[in-house]
Amino acid sequence: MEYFQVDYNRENLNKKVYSQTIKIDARRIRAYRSLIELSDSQGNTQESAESLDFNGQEISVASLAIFLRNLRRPDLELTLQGSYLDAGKKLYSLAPVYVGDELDIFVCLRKVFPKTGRSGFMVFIDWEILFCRGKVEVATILEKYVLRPGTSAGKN
Amino acid sequence: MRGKTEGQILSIVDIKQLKIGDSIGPLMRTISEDTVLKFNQIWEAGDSNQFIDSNVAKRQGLERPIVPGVLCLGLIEFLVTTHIRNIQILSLDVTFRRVIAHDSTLQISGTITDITLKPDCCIVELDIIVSADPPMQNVLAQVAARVV
Repeated sequence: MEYFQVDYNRENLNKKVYSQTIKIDARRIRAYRSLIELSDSQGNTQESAESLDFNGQEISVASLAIFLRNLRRPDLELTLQGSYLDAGKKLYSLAPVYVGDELDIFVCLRKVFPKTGRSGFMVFIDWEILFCRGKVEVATILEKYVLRPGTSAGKN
Repeated sequence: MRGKTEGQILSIVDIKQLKIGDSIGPLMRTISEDTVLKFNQIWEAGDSNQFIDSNVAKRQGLERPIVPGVLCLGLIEFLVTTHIRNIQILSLDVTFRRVIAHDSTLQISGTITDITLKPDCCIVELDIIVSADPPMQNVLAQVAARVV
């Protein structure tokens, strides 16, 4: 069996790196809830949400995913080019997160591995994202992306 | 209106009314281009990506723009929180198996796989399937949640 080694900067593996600090702002959470039609933790619907002060309300771990798009991450320095698709996510709530919180985000590259399946040759990339309020880790999101070589570069 | 989507009125129930093997849903949602555009703004994803730009999608080997996977997380949360009273998601394990095109009507349904009673709450586990063209499975998820 042919063994394919993916060429990338291995120095980033398992290294926890500060990415950025985010604020869980009410405007963004309100817009997200309204679009999905989610009610808040008090049972208020989006129809009444416009008039509510969201500050201090607990949000779900799923809501944290909307803050991940432009996260700063270390450059993988992958020699392969291609487009990325989101292959999966695992989200864990470790402590309550509230609207108005400021969270420090740390990223950690966990794994880069090739795989050949029905869709052909692909490279999977696993990241771990840590959300911290001060020294308390409040949530973890494990992300899996798939890089499809031969397609135009882009991220998911 | 809470729990109303595409003509359905979803009834929210107490965990005591549910048992292992019970189903929740299906929730039917059509994800339009306009919904993806609005989500893209909230997500701050910009305007040149495979979610809203046909040319970018084609260059990436996709037939047309697709629905962001992250948007599906919200739909799964919606399904769970509109069916079971006082539920909070503790963990969500999602696998994106097939891309979802704009204007697809998604069928989102769940099955309760475990219920653990604790002194002050109850832990519920569910398997969730998101399907754009049943029986094809586009997104699979496992949810663990606390009910108080």
